[in-house]
Amino acid sequence: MKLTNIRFFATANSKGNSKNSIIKVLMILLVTSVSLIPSFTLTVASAVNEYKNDFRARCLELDPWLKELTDDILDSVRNINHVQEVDMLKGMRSQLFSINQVTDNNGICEEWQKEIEERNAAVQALSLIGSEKMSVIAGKDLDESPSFCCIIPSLFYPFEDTENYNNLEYIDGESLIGKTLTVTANDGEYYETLYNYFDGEQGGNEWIRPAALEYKLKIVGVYYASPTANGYFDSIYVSEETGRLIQETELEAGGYDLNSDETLVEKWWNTPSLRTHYVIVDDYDNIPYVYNEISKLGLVCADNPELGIKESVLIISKILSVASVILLIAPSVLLVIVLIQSTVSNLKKRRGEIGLMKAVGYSDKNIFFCLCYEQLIVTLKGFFVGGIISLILIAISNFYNNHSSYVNRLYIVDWSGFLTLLSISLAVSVVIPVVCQLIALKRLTKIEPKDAMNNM
Amino acid sequence: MKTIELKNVSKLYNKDVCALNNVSFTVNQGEFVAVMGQSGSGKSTLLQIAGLLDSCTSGEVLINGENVSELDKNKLADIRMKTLGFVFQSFHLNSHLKLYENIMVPMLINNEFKNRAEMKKRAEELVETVGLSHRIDHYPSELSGGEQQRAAIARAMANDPDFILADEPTGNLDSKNEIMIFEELKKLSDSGKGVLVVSHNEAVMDFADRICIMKDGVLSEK
Repeated sequence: MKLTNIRFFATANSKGNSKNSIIKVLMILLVTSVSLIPSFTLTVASAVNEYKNDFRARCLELDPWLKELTDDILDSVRNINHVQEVDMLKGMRSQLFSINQVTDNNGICEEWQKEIEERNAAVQALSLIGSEKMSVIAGKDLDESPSFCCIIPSLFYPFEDTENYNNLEYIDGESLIGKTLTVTANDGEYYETLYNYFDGEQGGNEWIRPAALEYKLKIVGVYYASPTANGYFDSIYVSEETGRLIQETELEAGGYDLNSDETLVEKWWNTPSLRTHYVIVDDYDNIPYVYNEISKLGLVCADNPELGIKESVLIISKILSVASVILLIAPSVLLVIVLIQSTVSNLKKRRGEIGLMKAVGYSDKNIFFCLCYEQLIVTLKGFFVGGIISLILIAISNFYNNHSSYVNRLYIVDWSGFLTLLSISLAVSVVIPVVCQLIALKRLTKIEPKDAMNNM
Repeated sequence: MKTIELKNVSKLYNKDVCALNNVSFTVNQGEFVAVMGQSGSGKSTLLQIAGLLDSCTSGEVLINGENVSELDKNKLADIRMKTLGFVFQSFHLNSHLKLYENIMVPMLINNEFKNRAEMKKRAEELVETVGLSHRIDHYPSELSGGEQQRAAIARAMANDPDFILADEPTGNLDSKNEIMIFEELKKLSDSGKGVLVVSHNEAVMDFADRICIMKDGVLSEK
């Protein structure tokens, strides 16, 4: 039997099944369930998984609170399974700098100057740690650049007026490549935790008061700031060497003699075992294990990276995953049940008609294909409607999130992922009806041509 | 001469119910044969076996001289499509297809029709033959019982079969329509088709060339 004839026959009969409306609605529900929520799930999970590989997401801060971090102790930590490396923090963990000026080859950038003066601008400067390589999405990375260069986030917002958090007008970081930030350490002081074991006693805390020096940091590149991370859109990175130089010059200008060990600060600066270290774990998911092992050594270690994945994002990711599974299974099961019921009752109702078809020469195969096609017409109609609904909702969501807070960028659905899910729902909308017809095939074959002789 | 021939055919159900008992029977081309009898006499079973809708327990069935008793169901379906047309008491018209589309249903599996335009042309000719041209685009629900059965007769003629087999074709009709249906079937036999009608309606006797009586699975000619 030709396909065109099957289509002709099936198209007419597809109007007749009383359960078609329910099937169509279930199909729409299934398609939106498969393509809509899972799109967000995939988007968030993808962002989370991508960030899990980030250096900073696998970094645990190790402080000499209870013990000095001697070479033996550090070796013990390095020998823990899943520890990739342990590095001393030579520069700044995170230091606030006010922006005084933005200049380029032509001098002061006037439009920036006006903004800085009206709104106050500041950045959080972090120095790279050990073997950390902060990759850039535009410009050059810090490895390729001299000292006193920096990289800024792709969406940059250094101003202090963040009241309207959900509607910040981010600056495109790429537009600032090549410009120089003139910055000053904020208030010229920060608080550092120091421990002094020189006399065999546990030490204490000390305010370090470095001088509020001015630095010129040239912007050489832009990094992608993941919305999953706990970081901020005013965080800039400098090389480890630049960070060390900044700290050194600040301390020296603040009156410390870094060649001596007279004051606590000077001893702290010159004693690696009294400095903060970072433990780099090979995989984000191994952090709890490494934390436990370090704790067993009697050391104080952060249980989570400082710039780790936001708790809220992890929770949302889990909720979306569970919701996706439920939304995939429930409508599918319901659809299968309704389709099977509909197929069986359809066969019962049309016993005489099918008997007649067999009487005039239709084979089981012909009739099976006709019935499959009838069902496919309904499910594919549901697929198209559901697909369009999902498409519109995703487009609206993407538009909203694109013009919303930075964190909401996390929920911008990647179209290729969505189209993949839509393709899966198309496959489902074809496979499920065929499978249901196959399940009912035995009943179909039991209908005899002579059943047409029954008075129905 | 084209024939349907049953030779010493018996049909047993559940090994103890004998629906047909050693029946020998022939329907010739151009003949109108009526088989009459009470309910349960075996006349419907006779039609089923003659129409290859069921198999016999013993004996032979020959269609145009070919013994079809041992053929598989696909080959039997093929023979039915090319050689036999059926009219049933319940019409079995598809309520979602228009009149001419219903007539096209047997043609959809016939590869001799190259496209649906050809099928539609044939359907229109048949619709005219049974006097329903004015109803060609109507759905079965819009037709009277008599009109539906005439449509069923046109459908039975779709693939130009050699024989028409009708099982109680007037069972659901009033007396006026009964006569009309038997007249249509008579026209077919006059045009050269072999017509086998199973009916308990005595009106058929006025149209049949031969009348056979079934009683307790045994066939006798009147």
